[in-house]
Amino acid sequence: KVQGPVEFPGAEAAQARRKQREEWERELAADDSDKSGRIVNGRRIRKVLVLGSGGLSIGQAGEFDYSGSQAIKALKEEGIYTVLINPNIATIQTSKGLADKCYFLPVTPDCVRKVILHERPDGIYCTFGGQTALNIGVKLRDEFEGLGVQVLGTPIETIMVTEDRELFAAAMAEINEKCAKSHAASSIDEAVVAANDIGYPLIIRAAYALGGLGSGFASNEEELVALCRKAFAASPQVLVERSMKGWKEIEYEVVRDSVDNCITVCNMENFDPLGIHTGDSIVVAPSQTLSDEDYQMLRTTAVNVIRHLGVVGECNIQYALNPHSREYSIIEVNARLSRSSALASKATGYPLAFVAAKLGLGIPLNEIRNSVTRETTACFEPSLDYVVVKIPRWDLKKFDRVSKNLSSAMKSVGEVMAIGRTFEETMQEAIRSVDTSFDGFSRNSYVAETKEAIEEELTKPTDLRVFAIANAFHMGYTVEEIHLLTAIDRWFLCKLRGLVETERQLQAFAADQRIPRDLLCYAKQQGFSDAGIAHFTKRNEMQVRNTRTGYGIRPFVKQIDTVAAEFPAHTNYLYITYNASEHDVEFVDNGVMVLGSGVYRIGSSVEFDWCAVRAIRTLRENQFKTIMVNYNPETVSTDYDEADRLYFSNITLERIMDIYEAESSAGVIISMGGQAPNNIALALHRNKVKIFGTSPENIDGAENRYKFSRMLDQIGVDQPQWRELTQYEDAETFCDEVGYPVLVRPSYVLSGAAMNVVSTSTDLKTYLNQAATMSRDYPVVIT
Amino acid sequence: MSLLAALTSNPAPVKRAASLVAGVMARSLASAIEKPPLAAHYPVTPGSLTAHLQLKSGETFTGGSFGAPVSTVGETVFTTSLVGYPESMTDPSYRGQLLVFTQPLVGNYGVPGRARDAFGLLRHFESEKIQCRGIIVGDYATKYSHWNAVESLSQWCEREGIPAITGVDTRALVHILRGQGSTLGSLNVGATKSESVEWVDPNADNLVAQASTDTVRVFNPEGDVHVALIDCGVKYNIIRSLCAQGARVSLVPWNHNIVNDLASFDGIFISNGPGSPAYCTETIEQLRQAYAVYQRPIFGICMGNQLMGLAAGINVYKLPFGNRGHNQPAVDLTTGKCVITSQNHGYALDDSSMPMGWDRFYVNANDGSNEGIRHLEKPFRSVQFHPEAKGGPLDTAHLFADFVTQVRAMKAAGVPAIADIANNESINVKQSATA
Repeated sequence: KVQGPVEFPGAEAAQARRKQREEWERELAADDSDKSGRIVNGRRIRKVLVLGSGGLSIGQAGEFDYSGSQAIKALKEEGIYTVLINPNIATIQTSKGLADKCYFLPVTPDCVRKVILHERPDGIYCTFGGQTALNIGVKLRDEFEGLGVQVLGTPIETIMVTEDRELFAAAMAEINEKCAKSHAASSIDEAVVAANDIGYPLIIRAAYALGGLGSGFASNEEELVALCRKAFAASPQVLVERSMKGWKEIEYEVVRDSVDNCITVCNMENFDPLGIHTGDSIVVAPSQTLSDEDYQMLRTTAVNVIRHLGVVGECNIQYALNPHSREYSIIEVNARLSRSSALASKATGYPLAFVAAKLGLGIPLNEIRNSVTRETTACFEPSLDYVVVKIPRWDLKKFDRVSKNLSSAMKSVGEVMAIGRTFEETMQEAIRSVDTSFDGFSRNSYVAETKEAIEEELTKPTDLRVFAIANAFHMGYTVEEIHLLTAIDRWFLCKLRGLVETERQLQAFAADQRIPRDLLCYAKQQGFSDAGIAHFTKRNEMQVRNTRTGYGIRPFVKQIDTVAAEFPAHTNYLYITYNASEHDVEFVDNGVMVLGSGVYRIGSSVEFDWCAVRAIRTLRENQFKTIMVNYNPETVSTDYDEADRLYFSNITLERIMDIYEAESSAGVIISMGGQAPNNIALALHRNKVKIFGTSPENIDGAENRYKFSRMLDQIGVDQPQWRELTQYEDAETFCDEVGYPVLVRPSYVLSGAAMNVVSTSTDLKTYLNQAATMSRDYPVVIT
Repeated sequence: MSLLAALTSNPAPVKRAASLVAGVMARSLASAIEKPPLAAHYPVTPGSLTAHLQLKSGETFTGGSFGAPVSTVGETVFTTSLVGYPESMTDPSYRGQLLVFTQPLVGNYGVPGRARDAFGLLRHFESEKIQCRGIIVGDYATKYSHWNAVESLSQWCEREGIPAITGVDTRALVHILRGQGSTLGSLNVGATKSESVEWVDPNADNLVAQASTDTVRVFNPEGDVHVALIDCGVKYNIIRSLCAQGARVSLVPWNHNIVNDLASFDGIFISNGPGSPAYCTETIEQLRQAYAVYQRPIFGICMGNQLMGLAAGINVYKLPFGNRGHNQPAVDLTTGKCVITSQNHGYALDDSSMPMGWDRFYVNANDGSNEGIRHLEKPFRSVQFHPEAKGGPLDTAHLFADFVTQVRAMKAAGVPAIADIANNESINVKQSATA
């Protein structure tokens, strides 16, 4: 029998909490006249079970920690006793002090049933734990009634309708809404009939065939028949679908309460047209290329669909929109919190999961307060006076034999979000956030500047498409040509084209020439980093920074207030922009800065979010003012009620210095964010930033392979023969000397990224050219 | 040293003093009256000019010009809408105003063509021309992209003689505007700001009279019910929406003597409009007289709501923060439902005390201000928000259908348009009580 969480003696606060909890439990058990909790559908809800998402997987990561934590906060605010099931120890939601009781058990039907029998909760939420929790809801739907548990939020029936393509299409037909039309055909004649019904162009897919075998596009009957001949050779059935290749992909986040109030919190437009999974697409919020008529048409549809389906809480609807007309089609509805919801929450400042949890308790939307303004209602649609760009992060390099091509299956492991007041500024910041080695949208060496390589990349996108676009512009491709190859809207391409011009203007300044103020100011407003400008003008980052601050060009701090400054708001959610003329906030706190982990990668995930949030909470408990800096929308640390100030910003030397100086911060804690802050530790130290915890020199002593190995030699710890090398020729000589195989390790990397065993000299050459760029700043160590 | 020890041993007083100085400097820099240009050297397009926005309260914003090279003075107002600049700019409610868009990226989808719909109205605009005097944006998109666009926002402004400025910190501007109420602004194009601005308040003129039609115009003459639409500066979509419901619409001037031919109308509709309702005493008087005898539906929108309220004896006051955006929540007090509405108003009806026979219809869920009134017995209703949207959400578009349905039902039921006053004393008494 489960005895409740284990606690260590001496923790007074914890004991007091447990006492209160026990008292509460006794009360709940003893007294039915107790008026605590809330009545939902005629039954009193006092104790609620929340299902977590379990272990992380691609497509189901930190965002569910965020939504679960928000839900628990909301439930506690309503005085509901919460029980959580989640076996993932790296999450905030399983931390002490959040849920009243937490079961570290697998999120499986058996375990959930056992916990229900043991805890006897009044209600259960299945919408905060991703697909895992949703599937539990579907599997146990017939048992809940018998177990005395009410499903809160969206009914399971609704979820099943949204998950089943046929049921969904039927539901949409009931309200005359358009889904992507699809017919199954088992003969060529049937396929032709279906094709005439749907209309060309079409995509033909062979059913039960692996890897898209026998599928293709048909724009007339002749092509259709030819394709079908091939397809029927491999499969007994083909699916005939309307081809929407090149259509715009638009999403709306919709919230509905149990009394049928319904709003759309955010709309988002994919930079990449239909064909790439939203999770793998670059996403812009709010939509940029829709007119009022387009926007309202899709908004009205979203509201109608969600009302018809009967969602209670939050959901996400995706559309394909024809770029040449007002024709649209509903792709899918996700009747649960998703990665897009986490993004929308952070993009707008509207706490979707928090609100969704309250709606599940039957509270009407207009009775919930907007937690940003504190004075206005949550029943409103946020207005953005900035632009948000999300870029996914892939770690495809870490896998062998994995196709780098992006398609309808999601491959990214994390995402970054950037906020700014122009598209250029925001896009460049987002690109830099994905990996510290990226300069922004500029000429690069990631895609070869040959016609074949560029066009291959543009037509069959991989994780490097945006770099291919940059190089294509540099090679002289026009907006129109790139649009034809990629189907990316011309508006985005025109904006990016402007960056290429600025880069060229900057390149005209040799190392000894002073960059004029106006050009530097313009470049900063377009989002070029100091490091990037230094790179173009052949000087170092600090020189650019000094020139810039000498000119008095500094970024401004703006608030995210959900109402576009229409009313005053008490918000601590901040971003940085050069497209402004004044700060929104005053700097009087001298807060302690805590740097977050940045984007989730393989080897750096929710555990660092947990560290950062715990650090912030500990500081606040000790009455220190805190400043959180992070740019990952899937995290709890970027929830604006965690720190006294939240900067949604890149973690680079430039940005951290800017914030440190503007805030006159007391100091920076870098040890909670994993590798990303570690990489800039020494540079911060050199710029006289006060760093709390391990001194950056000592961090360098551990991270720098050369210093580490030298120290081992000094203290007499045995280690393989090694040498630190910065040039390929030296590396080859050394390897010949010690003999293959050798281990090649670059410094400052995460979980052995780019570390490799090399067994021949040819391998060594390819490896050092491809994977690890050797440089004086970042040498490699060979052992 | 432990982290906490490090923190506490930090010479905090010194640090704090230093930062206070820095804080003051940052603030004084920020509040300096001259706003630094964002990128004055870099014109919007090669060869285009610099522009300045000067506020009467003293602040100056510098940016690039992308409209007509002319100067103008107007009341500076803002909208927090995310989309819909062609609709907003042709909305007669913005007549005489300099319009600030808080969404920084404007011009992205160009400007649509001048196609006309079945009722002879411009399909994509809310009136025949740009009504605002100038526009102020954060980041104008020189290149547009939309299948329906025929020209850029810049070309449109230039063609219609409207100045436009980009590169302004619109958020900083809104911070100033929202606290001041009515702020006059001067938009001038040229390398230097204008030294002496002649401040002419457009609100000193009767803007409603300027925006209203001169003659009676009939739309959808085949309609089965006849609605008088009092034009205080009507948005085309009001006409469209009524016609689409099958009504024959007679658009009449703001001061038209409707009392004389009340009997010929199956319903009366009062449009939105620019400026202050105080100039519309003639319309208010017409409505007051109509209330006494008219028995068929009357409906008002925005300015129409204020005029109907004034005619019923309700006062108008200035809101501390106007409601200007497409995201305003309004609660229908008859059902308790909350709808998202499109709004643009700085004045509101004071519904703290309602005259006899009237009740609140909608209230704003944010600031509790009035969003509509209704008569308890007669079919008279009005709303402060814009159910016709354009731009904005279409949540309340059903109000047009409700209105025309009611008009049709009452006509079918044979309710006489004008009450026989001698036999209907109760209404008469109520009206005189409010007067």
